[in-house]
Amino acid sequence: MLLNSFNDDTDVGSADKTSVCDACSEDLSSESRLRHILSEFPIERRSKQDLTRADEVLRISLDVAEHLLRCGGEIQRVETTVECICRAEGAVHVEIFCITSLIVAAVRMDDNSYSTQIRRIYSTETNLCKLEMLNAVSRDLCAGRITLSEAEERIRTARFRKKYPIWLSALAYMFTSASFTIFFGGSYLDGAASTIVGLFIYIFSSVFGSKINKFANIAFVSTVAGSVAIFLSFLFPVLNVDLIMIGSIMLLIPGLSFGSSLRDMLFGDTISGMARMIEAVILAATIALGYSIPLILFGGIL
Amino acid sequence: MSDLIPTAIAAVTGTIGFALIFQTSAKRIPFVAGVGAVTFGVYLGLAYLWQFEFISNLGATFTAYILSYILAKILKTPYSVFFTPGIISLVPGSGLYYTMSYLLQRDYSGMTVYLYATVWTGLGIAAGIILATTACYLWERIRNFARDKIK
Repeated sequence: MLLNSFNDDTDVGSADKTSVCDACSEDLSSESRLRHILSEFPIERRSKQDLTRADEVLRISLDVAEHLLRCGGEIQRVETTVECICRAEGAVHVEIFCITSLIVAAVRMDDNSYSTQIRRIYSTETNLCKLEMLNAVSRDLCAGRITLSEAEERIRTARFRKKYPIWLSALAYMFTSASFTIFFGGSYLDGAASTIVGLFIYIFSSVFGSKINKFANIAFVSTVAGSVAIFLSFLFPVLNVDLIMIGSIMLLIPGLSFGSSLRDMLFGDTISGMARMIEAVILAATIALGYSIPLILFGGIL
Repeated sequence: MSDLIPTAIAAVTGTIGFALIFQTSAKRIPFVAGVGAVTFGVYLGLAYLWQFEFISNLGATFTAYILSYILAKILKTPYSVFFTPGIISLVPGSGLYYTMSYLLQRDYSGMTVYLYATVWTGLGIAAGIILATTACYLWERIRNFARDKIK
């Protein structure tokens, strides 16, 4: 409606597009167009008093659900959480649809207020402590032990909870990589070499993990890990490069995605299950591709 | 037998490492390590009896899930806190690597062997999760039914 009040004289998306506002006949560049619309037609924000009880209850329950899903919660848990919190707060009707990247929920309260809200999930990471904290918030809300405002405060605490310090996370990567090298039959020397590969995986995952696409990041980190393993085996020919690589692969592999996807499908969440399964297969293929590049370039294969 | 001791220790330390990577709270890590140890023990026992990846992974996953479920009920926390890192030693990392390695070497018979082993392992874990989830679901239904009857 607002956009119709502008006369576009160029194609949408072109670099030098300009618009003329019907209201004030001012020429506008594409960059300032949105700002101009907002200044001409200010959006009236709803004050907190205007929000219905349904809005508030659904907002809090979706805050919990969103962060549960972001830190590795299952689809069934997310849906159950929203439903339980809304019912505990007096909802008479709750509808919830959740997939790995989206939550849509609608609620009707006992005072006949009604609300529908959605949340888009862009990224997920496994954070079991946060999952536990949010689950406790949900449990306490459902049991009536805390109010919505107390829940909001605890959600904020869970969201901004500090992770383990960098040195401990790096040590965990090194320790895990070495453990799985020994687990799959490597010597203690292979395990020691694997710690270095684990450290590189941690550094590159931390630096690039949030900046580039997930699959590109995994491919890049796999290539770096494979290259470091081969370089170490050049320096110390006694090392078993295969077992060092296997130990480090365990840090990247989507371990339980396949099983979780089947469980999701078993419980009727077919779309989520399929999405998880396809993601697991693509990730496994990406890891294989990443490790195969240094094997081809420096490993003498092919 | 003596070879198994470092392997078992590595399975448990790997599980603890993953618990830290997954940001498990410090007070839960001993329980996670316990789940990891039991899971690997069951895997070894079943692998000794059947020598079939599917059965041993199914049994180990089933045990890990049930154990995680019980701990979750006792400690009032999501089961995945114990299950996700606890089962990590079953993940077929070596199968994936050797499948890729033999494929690059164009040794298709070797690749097929590892590919089958990897797929059987994945299916065993998936079947274990499905069976255990169904068992827990049925148990909750029966418990709720009994509770309603008593009321």
